Amino acid sequence: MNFATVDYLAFMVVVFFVYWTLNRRWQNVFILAASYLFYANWDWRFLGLIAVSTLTNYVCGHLIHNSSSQRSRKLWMVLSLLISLGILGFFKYFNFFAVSFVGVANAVGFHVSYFTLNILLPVGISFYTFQAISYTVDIYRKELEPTSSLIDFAAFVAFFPQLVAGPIVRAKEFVFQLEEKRTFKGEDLSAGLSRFLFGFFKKSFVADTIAINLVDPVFASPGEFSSGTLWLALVGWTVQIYADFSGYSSMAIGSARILGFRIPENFNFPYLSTSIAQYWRRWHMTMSNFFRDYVYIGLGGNRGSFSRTMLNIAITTFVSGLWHGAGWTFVAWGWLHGLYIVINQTWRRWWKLRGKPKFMTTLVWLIPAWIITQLAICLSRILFRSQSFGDAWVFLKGMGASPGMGTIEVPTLVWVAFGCILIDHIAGWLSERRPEVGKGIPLWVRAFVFAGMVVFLYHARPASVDPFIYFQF
Amino acid sequence: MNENPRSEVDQGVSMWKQLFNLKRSSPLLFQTLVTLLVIEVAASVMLPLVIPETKYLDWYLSEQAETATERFVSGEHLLVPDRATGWRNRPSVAVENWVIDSLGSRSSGTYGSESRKRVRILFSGSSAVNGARMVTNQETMSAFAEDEDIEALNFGTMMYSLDQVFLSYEAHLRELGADVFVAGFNPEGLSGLRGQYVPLYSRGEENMPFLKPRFRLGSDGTPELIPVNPREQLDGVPHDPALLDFLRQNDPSFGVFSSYRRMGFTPIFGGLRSLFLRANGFLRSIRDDPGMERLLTALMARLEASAGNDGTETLFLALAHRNSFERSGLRDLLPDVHGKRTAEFCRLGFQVVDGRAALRETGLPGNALYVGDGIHYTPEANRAIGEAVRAVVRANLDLELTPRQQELVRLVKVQCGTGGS
Repeated sequence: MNFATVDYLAFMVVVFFVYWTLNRRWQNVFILAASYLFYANWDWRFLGLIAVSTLTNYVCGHLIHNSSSQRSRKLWMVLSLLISLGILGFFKYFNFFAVSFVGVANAVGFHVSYFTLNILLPVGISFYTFQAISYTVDIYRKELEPTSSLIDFAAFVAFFPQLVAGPIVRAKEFVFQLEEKRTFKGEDLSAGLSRFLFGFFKKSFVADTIAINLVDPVFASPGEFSSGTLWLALVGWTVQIYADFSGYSSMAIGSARILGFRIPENFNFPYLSTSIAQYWRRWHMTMSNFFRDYVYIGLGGNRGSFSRTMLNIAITTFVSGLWHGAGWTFVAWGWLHGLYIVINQTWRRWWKLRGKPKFMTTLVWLIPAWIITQLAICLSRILFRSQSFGDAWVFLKGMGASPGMGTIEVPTLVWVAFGCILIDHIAGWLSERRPEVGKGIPLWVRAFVFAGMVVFLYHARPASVDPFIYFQF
Repeated sequence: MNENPRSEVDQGVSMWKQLFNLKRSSPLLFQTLVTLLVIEVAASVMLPLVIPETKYLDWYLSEQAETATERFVSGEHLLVPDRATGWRNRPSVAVENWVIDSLGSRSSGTYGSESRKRVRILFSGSSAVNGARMVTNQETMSAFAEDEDIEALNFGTMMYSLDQVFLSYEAHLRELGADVFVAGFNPEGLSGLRGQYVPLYSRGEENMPFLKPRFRLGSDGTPELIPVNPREQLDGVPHDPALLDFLRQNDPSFGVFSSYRRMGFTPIFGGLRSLFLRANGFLRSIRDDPGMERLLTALMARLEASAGNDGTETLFLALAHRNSFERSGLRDLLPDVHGKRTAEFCRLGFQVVDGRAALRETGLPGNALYVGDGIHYTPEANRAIGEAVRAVVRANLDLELTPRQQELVRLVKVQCGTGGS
C-alpha cells in the first residue's frame, strides 16, 4: 500500500491504537505482523523470501558471534553474504547479466541464444537485503552483538515504514530500540505527524504535479519538444525525484516516530551542495553511508595510494549504479558520478597543495561550484531516467538542438511546486547558518502553516497517485 | 524493564490520557487541529455568503468537465445535444473501436429501412449495451444476437437510464419498425432516473457533464416529463446562474451541490461529506425505494404500451455489474436487489431477460466477463447475453430453437415465482 493513500492512513490509525496498548514484547510481535501484512499487500508471494532472508541472517549472526576462530567467523559471514546477495542477484540481476552475457558472446563471435527467465522483482528487496547484510557484517566486525530474539530481528528487517524504499537502517541503529521499552509521548506523535505531513506534501503535490504536467509528457516524446522545454523538463525531473524520494523518506521517518522509533535521516537539502562529494553526503545518505562503510572502506578506502583510492571509488560507484537498477544506463550513471568524484577530489587536492583552502569558502568559489555541481547532477539524471543509451543521447542532443519545436503549457501549480522546493532549500540553508531563526517561530504560526498545508493538499493534490520512483529499486 | 501485565494497561491508559489532554501533551498538534477546525467552520459558514453559486459550480466541475461541456454545446463531442433525450450518439463517426453509422447505431452491418431480414431487433440502453470502446462492433451483444433470421441495431448510448431509453424510442427509434425492442438497464441503479444534471449524480463522469430530462410521478401515478433544452441550458456553464436555478427546482440531486458549497471545501468536513455520500449511495443500493420503483415500472409500462402500438414486442434486459454478478463474501449477506426487482417486473407482467443469469450460465469468472471497471462487458460476456436474447426472441416468435437455445430460454427468461438468478 502506497504511503500517499487513504488505505495507508487507515492502516496507520489501526496500528497506532493497537500498538500503544501493548507492552514491549507484544509491540514487537505486532510490528512484525503489521509489517508482514503491509508487505503482503504489495505482493504476498514474496513473504517467504523475506522470511528466508531474515532467518538466514539471524542464524549466521549467531554462528559468527559464537565462532572461536577468525576463519570460521569469516566463513559464516561470507556464507550469509552469498545467500543474501545471491537472492538479490537472482531476482534483480539474472536477466540483466544473461542478456549482457549473450550480447558480449555474440559480439565476439560465439553464437549463444537468449535464456532469460520470467522473474518478478520483489518489492523492497534491495533495501531489506542491505539491512540484513549490515547485521551480519557488524557482528563480524564486533561492532554489534547478535540479538537473542528472532522476533526482534525479524521486526527490524521487515519494519514497514522503511521496508520498501528505505531509509536503509543499520542493525546497530535500530535493534536496540526494539529491545528497549517505548513509552507513548505526545511529542513523538506531534513530530511524527508533522514529518509525515511534510513528506506527504512533497510526494503528493510537488512530485506528482511536476511529473504529470511536465516531466512525463516531455520524456515520453523528447523529439517533439524544443530545447528549452527539454531543459525545463530535466530540471523538473531533478526536482521531482528529490521531492518523491525525500517525501517518501519523510513519511517513513514520521511513521516510525509515531510508533516511538527513530530512524536516520536520508536527505539534507542536497541541492545546496557545492561539490559532488558534498552532494553524496546530502543525498540518500543512508545508501551512500552503506556503500562507504561496507564497500569503499572494505576495499581499503583512501588508505592506499591516490590511484588505488580512485579505483576504490570506481568500484563503489559501479556497485551503487548497479544497485539502482539492472541496466547499463544505471551503471553508467554510477560511473559518471564516480568520475565526478575523482575530478572533484583531484581538483580539491590541487588547490590544497597550492595552499589556498580558504579561497574555497568564498562566494567567488562557492557560486560557480554550486552551478557546476548542480549542472553535473542534472545532466547525470538523463541516464537515470532513460531506458537506453539511445534514449539518453536523443534527449541530450535535443537539449543542444532539438528537431522539435513544441512547447508545453505548464500550469501554475507546477511553478508553485518548484517554489515549494525552493522554499524547502532556503529553509534548509537558514537552518544550517541561522538555526535560531527556526526556533523563534511562534507555535500558532507553525500550526497555521500545517493546517494550511492540509487544506492546500486537499485541493491541489493530483487525482491519481504516481508510484514512488525508488520502489522500482 | 517492567514487563508485568499491568504495564500493558498502563501503556494504553497513558496513551489515552495524553490524547485526551492533547493541549498539554502535544500543543502543536492541538493548535493545528483547532486552526483546521476554525478554517473548516469559516469555509462552511462564511464563504457561501460571499462567493457566488456559479463560482462554486466552476470549482465543482473539473477542467475536463468544463471543456467537455463546451465541446458538447458546440457540437464537437462524440455525443450531440438532443432535446428529447438530453444527448445521443453522433451519427457517422469512426474513432478506433467506436464506429457509429448514419442512423446513430453501432451495428455489425449496414441497415436501412429498405433492406432487412425477417426479424429486426433494436437494442437500447447505456454503454453496457453499446459496449463502449472496449469492444468492436462485431463484439457487441447486438452483433451476437444476430443470425440468418435476425438483424440487430444497437442504439445503446453512454449513461442512458430507462427514461431516456423510453424517450429515445418515442422520438427516434419507432420509425425503424422493429419487431423487438430490447431495453437494457440495471435494475439496481436508479440514480439516473432520480437526477437531471450528470455532475450531480455521477460526478466522476467528467467527459459527460450533460443535462437530461426526467420524469416524476404525478398525483395520479402517471409519469410527468420535466423537459430540458440541453444546448441552451448548458451554454452558459458555469457562469450562468439559470442552470442552477433550474436544477434547484427540478433536480433532486441538487442537494449534492448544496452540501459541496457548505462542506466540500475543507478536508475534515469534505471527508465527512464524502463518507456520508458513499454510505447513502450504498444504502440506496440495498434498500427498497418504493417511489423510484413505481416510477421505473410506470416507465416500463409506457414503453411497452408505446412499442406495442407499433406492433413491436418489448424485452427488458436486466444487466448487472460485476459485484452483483459475483455476490461473494460480504456482498452475499446483502439483499439481492437485482433478483428481487426482476422477479417483481415479471410479476407485473413484463418480459424480462436476465443478463446476469446468461453470464452465470457461462461458468466463467468475473474477470473474464467484465473489463477492469466492473461495469462494461468483454466480448465473451456480450456473446453470452447476445445469444440469450437471440434465443428468447426466436422462442417468442416461434422460430426453430436448438437444444442449447431452449436451455438458455429456460435459464434467462425470468419466470414469475422465481427470485431471478
